[in-house]
Amino acid sequence: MGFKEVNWLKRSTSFLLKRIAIYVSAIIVFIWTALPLYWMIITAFRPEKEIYEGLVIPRQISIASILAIFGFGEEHITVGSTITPYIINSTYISIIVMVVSTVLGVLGGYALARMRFPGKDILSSMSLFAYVFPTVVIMVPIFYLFSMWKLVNSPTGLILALLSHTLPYTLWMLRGFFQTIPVDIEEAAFIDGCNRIKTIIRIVFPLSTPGIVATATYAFILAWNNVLFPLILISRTDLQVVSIGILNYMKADFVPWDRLMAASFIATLPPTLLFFAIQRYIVAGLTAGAVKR
Amino acid sequence: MRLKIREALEGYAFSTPAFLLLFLVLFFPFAYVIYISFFSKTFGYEAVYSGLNNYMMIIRDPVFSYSIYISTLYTVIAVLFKLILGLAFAILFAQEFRGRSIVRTIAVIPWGIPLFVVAAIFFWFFDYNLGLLNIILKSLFGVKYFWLGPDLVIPSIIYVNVWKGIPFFMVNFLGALQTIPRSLYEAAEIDGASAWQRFMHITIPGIKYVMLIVCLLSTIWTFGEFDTIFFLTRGGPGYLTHIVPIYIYHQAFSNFNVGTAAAASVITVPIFLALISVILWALRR
Repeated sequence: MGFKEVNWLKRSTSFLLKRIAIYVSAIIVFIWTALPLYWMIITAFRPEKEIYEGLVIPRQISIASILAIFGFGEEHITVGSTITPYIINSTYISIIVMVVSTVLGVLGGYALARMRFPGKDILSSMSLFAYVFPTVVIMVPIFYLFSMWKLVNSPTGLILALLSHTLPYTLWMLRGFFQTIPVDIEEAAFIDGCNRIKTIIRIVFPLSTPGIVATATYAFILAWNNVLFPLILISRTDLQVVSIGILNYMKADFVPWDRLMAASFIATLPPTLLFFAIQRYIVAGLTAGAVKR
Repeated sequence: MRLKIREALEGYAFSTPAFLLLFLVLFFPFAYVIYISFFSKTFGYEAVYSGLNNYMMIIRDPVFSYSIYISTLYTVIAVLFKLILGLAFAILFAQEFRGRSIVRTIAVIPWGIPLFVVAAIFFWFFDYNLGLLNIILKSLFGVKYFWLGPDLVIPSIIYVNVWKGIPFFMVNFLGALQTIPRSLYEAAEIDGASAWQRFMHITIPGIKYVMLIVCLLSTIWTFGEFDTIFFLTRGGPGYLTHIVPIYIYHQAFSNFNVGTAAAASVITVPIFLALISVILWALRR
């Protein structure tokens, strides 16, 4: 065997080893991530009695548990009866939060990105601080003040509290998106006689639609996923949202596993699907300043 | 000059609605929590000024010292694991292989799932008799564990946090890895640099800013996160998982002691402020 062949053999062995290492790692990553998800989905979609047999692979597929959490078919629903009202409350509250934080975020974000006025930098920093700051710090005063303002057990109160979390986010993100639009285009529009409002509507909006849509969507997700504010502000069942509905299932002495997993599956669909639709914009968001380097 | 004033007025007109609302629901409550921390206050009773009494009380409270300790331990270990595994995942997905895009999509899913659903999933996954983890361990090794029992609860909540948090690290690292020019690696290879040397001298310097920001953000969010631990353990068994957010919640809503809960909230603020200032500084550079 000549030198060349030995070298080739060495190279192809190391190439092969690398390929094997890659595929083994990929399988480990897949199992690590998918196992808990598999367990949720399989529990939500198998007949309830099968759960107590301890089988990893279901023998039968059934949507009885999914129907049960919406109040169909089952007669002996006990805990939290049905999640339908929770889903409805979460949906309309999250939509209102999304609309308000996007409208105010577009106006404020545009001002922070484009207009020159004293205090602008402080306001920009404040919006980042406010977004990054954990909400637990204001949990106590929010409850205390909202009790005084009669905003406990009211959808308005919950919406206002959620805005404290989503509005800093939309401000910061939209400021970033508006900054990426070249100033020249706007200046050209000014010279052509467009005023500020006209320029924003005709030039800025169309150019930043993807950013606005992505930011609005994420505001919806933040509102839907929130636990703390509905937990402290809402005690009436008819006003409760889906995150606390899940908690109620978990608090039961005898946890209805199939319904807990069915409800989890349903509750996770809207935020997760929306997240995947806008994922590439979010990634470009907060750390964008750093990635560009 | 007139134009400048006009522009400034427009700027205020545009940003006032947002910041007025933020003042009402965020900045004012934030100032109020500092104010109320100097009062002895229980829900339903009048507030009485008590100076630094609340701070003295929580500093002497062994549960509070423990909660600071356990929050710090939990945060440091979880962020460390997320950093290492997130980087490993990112390097894996930077390679070409069959099925890459589907495995990568699945690996990102935990990021998109709400925390309360993650908690519910693991509550069931960890179940002693019927949970998948014990079913697998029983059939492979013949053992079962109380995952949320006193011995394993801390590793278990770290595991949940790491599972949920890896994709945030991975996706950001993957983006940063793509900005490193391929030619650097090729040049290093020609010069005879080993894979480890290339990793230490090209990969790490190339993504260090992203690493810094991602780690700091994750540290803040892990330290301040309430949802999963509250849903999984409610701070128990005993006080074992009584992290700071849960301590604050219990002071306010189980002991109805608004003053000490406020003082506990205020004490954590400098920690967050310091971390956020570093982020701001890094983003500006």
